[in-house]
Amino acid sequence: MNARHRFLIVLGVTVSLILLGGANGAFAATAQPQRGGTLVFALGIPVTTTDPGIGSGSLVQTIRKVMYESLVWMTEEGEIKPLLAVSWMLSTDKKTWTFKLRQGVKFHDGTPFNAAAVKATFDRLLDPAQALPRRAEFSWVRSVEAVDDTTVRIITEAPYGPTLRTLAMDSGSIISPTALQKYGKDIGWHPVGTGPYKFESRVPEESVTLVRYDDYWGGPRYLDRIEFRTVREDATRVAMLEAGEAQVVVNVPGTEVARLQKDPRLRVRLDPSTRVAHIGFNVHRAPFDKIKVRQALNYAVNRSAIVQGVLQEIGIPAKSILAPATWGYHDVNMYPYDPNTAKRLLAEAGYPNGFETVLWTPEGRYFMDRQTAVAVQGQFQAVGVRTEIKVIDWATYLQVLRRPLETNETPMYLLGWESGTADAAILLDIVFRSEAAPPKAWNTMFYKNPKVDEFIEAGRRETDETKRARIYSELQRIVMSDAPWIPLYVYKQTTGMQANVEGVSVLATEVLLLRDAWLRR
Amino acid sequence: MAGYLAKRLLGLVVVVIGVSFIVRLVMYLIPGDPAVVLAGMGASGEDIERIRRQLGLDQPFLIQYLTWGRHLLAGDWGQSIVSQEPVLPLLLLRLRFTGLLAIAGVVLAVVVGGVMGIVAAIRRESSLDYGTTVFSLLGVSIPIFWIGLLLQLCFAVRLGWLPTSGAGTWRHLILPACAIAANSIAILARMTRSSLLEVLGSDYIRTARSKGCGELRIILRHALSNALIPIVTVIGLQFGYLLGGAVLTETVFAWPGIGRLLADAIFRRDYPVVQGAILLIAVTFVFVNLLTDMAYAYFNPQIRYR
Repeated sequence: MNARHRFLIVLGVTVSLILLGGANGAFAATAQPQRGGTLVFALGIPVTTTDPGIGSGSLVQTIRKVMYESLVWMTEEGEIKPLLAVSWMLSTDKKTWTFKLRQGVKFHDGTPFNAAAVKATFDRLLDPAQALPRRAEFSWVRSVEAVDDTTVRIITEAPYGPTLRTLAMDSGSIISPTALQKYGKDIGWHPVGTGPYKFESRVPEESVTLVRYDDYWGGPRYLDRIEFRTVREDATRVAMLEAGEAQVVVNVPGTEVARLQKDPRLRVRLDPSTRVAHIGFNVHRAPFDKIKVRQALNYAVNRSAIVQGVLQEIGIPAKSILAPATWGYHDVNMYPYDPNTAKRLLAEAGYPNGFETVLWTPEGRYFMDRQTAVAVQGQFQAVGVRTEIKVIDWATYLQVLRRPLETNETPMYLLGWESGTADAAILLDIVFRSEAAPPKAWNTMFYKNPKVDEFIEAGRRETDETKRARIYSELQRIVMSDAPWIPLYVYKQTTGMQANVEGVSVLATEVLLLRDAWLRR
Repeated sequence: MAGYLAKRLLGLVVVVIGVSFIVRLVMYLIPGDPAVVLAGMGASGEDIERIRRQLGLDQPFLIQYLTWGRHLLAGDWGQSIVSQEPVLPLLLLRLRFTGLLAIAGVVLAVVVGGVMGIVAAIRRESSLDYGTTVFSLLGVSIPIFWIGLLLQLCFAVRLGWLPTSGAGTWRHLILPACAIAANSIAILARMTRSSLLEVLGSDYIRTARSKGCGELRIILRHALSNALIPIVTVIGLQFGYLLGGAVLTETVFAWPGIGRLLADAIFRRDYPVVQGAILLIAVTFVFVNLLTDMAYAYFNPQIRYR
C-alpha cells in the first residue's frame, strides 16, 4: 500500500465520519437504535397520492416525509434545521435566499441530488399549467435559480418572513428530476426522493409499504419496512394496537386515552397541535354585524368546561386565534367566562332578550365537533341566545361556507383551522385578510379591518423574528377585540404506540417524523 | 327460455342507464364540489376554478353525463378525481374482496340459518325453537358494527386467535364473515322455519307420513324441496345486498370492499368512482336476481319462463 492509497483511505474514512457526524447531529436519537423489524402505522384516511404538489391531509405528509426530504426541516419544538441544505443566507434586500446544498446525496433512483434537482422541483410546482393545488403555498416565490451544482437561490417577490417554515413542509419536497421527466403526472405513485425509506408497493386506498433505502446519505436507518394501513374505524385502530398488530396508531379517541395509558405494553402521546376549533361569525349578518354581540358570545362560552366535559382534556382552552404551538402566538386571553358581561353587552347591542340563530357544524370531521356545538348551544341559551344546530356533511360544508357574500347563508359555523407551517402567516393570509373573502379564499367571516390587513402584510414581509413577533401579538389583540371568531380550544394530538417504539417525533402540524424510528427488542 | 333471457338482459340495459343517470343527477344536485375538496383548504378561488375546468366540471350536466357514457361505451371507466387512479381496476379489485366476503357470508347464513330453521320447525315450540327465535331477534336487531366490534374485541384483542382487521389470509375472513352473516342467519332461520311449517301442514306430507315414510326423509326430500322457493328468494336478496357492499362491516374490519370505497368516494364527491361503483353494484344485483329466478325453475319444475 503506497502513500497515495493510504491518503485516499484516510480521506474516505474522514468523509464518511463527517457525513455520519452530520447525520447524528441532525437527528439526535434517544438511545442506541436497534436495526430491524416492520413498523405498522394505522391511519384513518386513504392515501390518495404521494405527490407533494397535491394536498391530502397532514397524515399523508407523514408518509411523504420519510420518502422525500426538503431543504430544511422543522423539529418537534418548531425549530428549523438543515436537511438537504446545509446552510443558507439572506441577501441585504431580504429578497434572495441562497442555499448551500448537501453533497453526496443520491435519489432512490441513483440520480444525484444537486441544484438542478431543486430547480426542477420548484419549476414544476410553480408552473401554472400543472395546476398543482399546493402552488398557492409558494406564490411568494418569483424564481429558483441554480447558481452552481451545490448552490441554489430562491428569489422572492417581496421579503417573506415564513420562508424557511414553508420550505420545511412536504410541499417543498425535492423530487428526482429523472423521475419527474419519466413519470410526469404519475409521479404520485412513482415517488423518488432522497429520504431514508423508499416506496415499495401499495394497495390502492388500503396500504402503502416503504422499504429502507440503504444508500441514504445519513447512513441506513433502522427499520426494515414501514407499512401505512388505512383503517377507518377509530375502535379498530385501537384494537390493532391492543392486539399488537400496529406499532403506531393516530387519532386515538379521547374516550380511550385513559384506559390505554394504563396498559404497560402501550404508550399514548398527547401532543399540542396548531388546530384551533372556533366558531366563526358572518359579520355582515344581523345580529353578528354588531361587535358587542360577537364579544358577548365570546364571554358566554365556558371554554374550560367544554375542554373538560366534551373533549375529555384532549385539548386546551383557546386564548387567541392562534395556537400556542404556532409561531407568532400571543396569549391575548381577553374573554374569561362571564355570562353577566355577556348579557350586559347583548342588552347594550339592543338584544336584552337575546335572539334566535343557527350554528352550522360538520359531524365527525374533528374530534367531538357536533358535541362541541351542542355544548355551545347550551351555554348560549344561558345568556338568552336560542341556537338551532344544523349538521352538514363535510364536502357540502366546504362548499356552502365558501359562497360569496351575496349568496352566503351562513350565520355562524364551527371549524378547526390549523397551520401547515406552524407559522402565523399562512392562516392569517387565508382566513383573516379582507381580500381572502370567498370565493377567493377562506375569510368566511367576511371580516374586514384595514389595520389588520396592514399588519398581516407587515408580518409577511418582516424577516426579523423579534419584530415579526411584535407585529403578530398586536394583530392578535386587534382581531380578538373585533371578535370575528370565538376561539374555543386547541386540540391535542393523540398517538398510540407500542411501548417499544422509539425515535418518533410528533410535530405540531400533525405530522409524524418516522425517519429515526426504531423498535426495541 | 331464450326469449325470456333476452328480455331480462334488455331490462338490464334500461336499469343501467336509469341508475347511472339518476346517480349522476343526484351527485350533481347535492351541494359539495370535488374541486374544493381536492384543492385543499389553502387554495384560492382561481385555483379551484382551474381544477374545476381541468376535471370538466364546468360543463353543463347533460354534457358531463353524455361524455361519461360515451367513454364508458368505449370501455373507459374514467379516472378517480382524487387519486387519478383508473376506476375499473380499482373497482374490480374491490369487487373481488366484496364477492369473497359475500359468498362466505351467504354460505355461513345458509348452513347455520338453514339448520337452525329446520331444527326449529321440527321441534316446534320446544326450547330449541324458542332459542332460535331469540337468537334471530337479536341477529336482526343488533347493529352489525356492534357485533363486529364485539367479535373483534373477543377473538382478536382478548384471545388473540384471529387478526383484528385487514385482508389477505383465510383467517382475516372469519370475523367479518361472521359479522356480516349474523343478520342473514337470523332472517334465513326465521324464513326456513315458517316456510317449512307451512309445507309440513299440507296434505301430501300427511300422505307421505301415512304411507310410512321416515321423518327425516319427509323433511329433507318432500318438505324442504317445496319450502325452498321463499328461502331461495331470501338468499338471493341477501346475496345481492352483501354484494352491494356492507359498508359497516367493511369499515370495522378494514376490509377492502366496494362498499367502503363507494362511501369514501361519496364523501369526497369523486364522481367517476361513485358512478362506476354504483353501476357495477347495480349490474351484479340484477344478475343475482336473474339467477334467483332461474333457481326457482330448477327447484320447482312447474315454474316456466317465457
